[in-house]
Amino acid sequence: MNKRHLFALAIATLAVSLWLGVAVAQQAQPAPTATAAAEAKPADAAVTANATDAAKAIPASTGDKLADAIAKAPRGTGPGQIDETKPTGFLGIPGAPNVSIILAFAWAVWVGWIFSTVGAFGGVMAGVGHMSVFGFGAYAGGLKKTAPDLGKVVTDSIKASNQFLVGTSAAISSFNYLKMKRLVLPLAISLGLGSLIGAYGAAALSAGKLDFKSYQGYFGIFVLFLGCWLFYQTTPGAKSKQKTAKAAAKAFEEAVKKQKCGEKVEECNLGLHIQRFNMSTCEFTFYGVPFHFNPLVPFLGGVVISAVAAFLGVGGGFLLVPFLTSVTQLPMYLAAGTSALAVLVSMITSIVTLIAKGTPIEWHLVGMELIGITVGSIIGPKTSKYLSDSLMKRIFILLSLYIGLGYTLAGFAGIKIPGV
Amino acid sequence: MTPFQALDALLITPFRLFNQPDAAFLFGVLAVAVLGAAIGKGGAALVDHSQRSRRVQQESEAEKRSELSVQALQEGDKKAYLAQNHLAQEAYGNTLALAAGHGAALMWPACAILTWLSWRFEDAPMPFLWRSAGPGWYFIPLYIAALWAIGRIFKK
Repeated sequence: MNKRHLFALAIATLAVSLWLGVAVAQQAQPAPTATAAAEAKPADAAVTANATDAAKAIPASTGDKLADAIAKAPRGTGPGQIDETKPTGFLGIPGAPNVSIILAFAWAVWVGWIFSTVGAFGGVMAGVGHMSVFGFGAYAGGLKKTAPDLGKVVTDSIKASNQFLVGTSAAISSFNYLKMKRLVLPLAISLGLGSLIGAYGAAALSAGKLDFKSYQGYFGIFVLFLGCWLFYQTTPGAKSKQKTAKAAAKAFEEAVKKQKCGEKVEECNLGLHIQRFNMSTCEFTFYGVPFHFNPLVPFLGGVVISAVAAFLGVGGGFLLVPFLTSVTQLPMYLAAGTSALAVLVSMITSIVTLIAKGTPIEWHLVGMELIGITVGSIIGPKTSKYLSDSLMKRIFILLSLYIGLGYTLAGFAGIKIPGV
Repeated sequence: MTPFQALDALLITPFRLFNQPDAAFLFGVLAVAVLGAAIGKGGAALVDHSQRSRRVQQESEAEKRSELSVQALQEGDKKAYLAQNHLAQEAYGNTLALAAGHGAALMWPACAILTWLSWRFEDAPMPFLWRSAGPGWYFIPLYIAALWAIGRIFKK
């Protein structure tokens, strides 16, 4: 498969995902009665706006869903009510938390720093920022009884913002692997199709239906699972397995060094050849070694992983490669490139679906956080050399266990633990 | 003049270059998409530069392990293959997390410009699109195309 085919495939996937989003949007909104072109506002109609116009608060990209939910919410000064005398905050809702840009930036620097030093845990911290640090979670939770529709819209917005911050970056970086032509096309199609269905299904079914407490509980379970997995990695049993694997790897590496063939594998010979592909079997050889898998397995894996990622608002990229290497035993060399397509499809589908379903996103807040992540990623490598890797790992294991437990208890049992 | 007003005046300039409203709008969106993509590419280059040693270390580890895993396959040594593949996958995971900064640097200008476009063209119908469509439906594809084009130019 050459570069042109790969690019065409990526564009086609993008187009299908966008088309789905447009279709959903058109279903949700009344069809236009006439071409909008003639009605287009002159480009600089707002140029004459006076200074007060320019200084007005930039509204979020509100859809009808948000406006309807605000209109339905009870007015008053009590908890869970819309106090119209208060200034507008998150998503332009009067009385909602108004996040300081400095706080948003500083937290995002921290998230970026974690991404560039500790790894994927940065994604969890982005979620913690939206839910706990900025106070959106407490606000959405407080609306559960008085204005459940508004609470669900705010929850969807938190979820979409998390996913945008975490997953889209992964999707962009995955694209580089896609360009490397390391793609098993039948597997990519199977996984990509599963991801499309999983991401669309989860985003479409949960949009506007998930209250904050439930979301917090499920997010907590995910973080708790992550913390347990990280903790398991530090146990003697797991360490012994890792040692054995590393010893096997080292032994082979030394054997290879003794051989005279020092040329790169890519230049050696053969490459990837698809032998047979049908509904039940895909057989291919890679550097002469035969592989086979049932296309249904990656399809189902794509459905499940993308659905979980879209439901929780996390990137699924970090789960897809381990899935491919463990289930299909595919070399990482191919798994990374193959999963890249699925990551792209999953991310585009779930975000477009959420937006098309009327989920508002505060783009200026997301933009500010992205600047913070950029700055944190620049600072990270310069400062990490002064910190011990193992100490940081231990700190983040404790953090993930604490946050996971806290969110699970708060979400499902209504028990609050300090700081979460 | 506040910084916001100055930025607004700068960004609106390309939207005034044509008299025909649709052409003016489309040209303006194209111009701000190219501007944003250039800023994004610059920021991403800065992130890549600062992460260079760590990234090179992780990428070369992933590459080396991948090559060794394939060599193990060629020699029919499944145990060594699985071990090398596992290490390659670990290194890949690290490069993926490291790339978040690169991705964020590419995307923040898009979010900033999209915020401005949504504010500036609030409630304005988009040329040739349905009534509820916002400027993002033009801006996002153009921004992606601009990132791709700038990438190609600098590659050459």
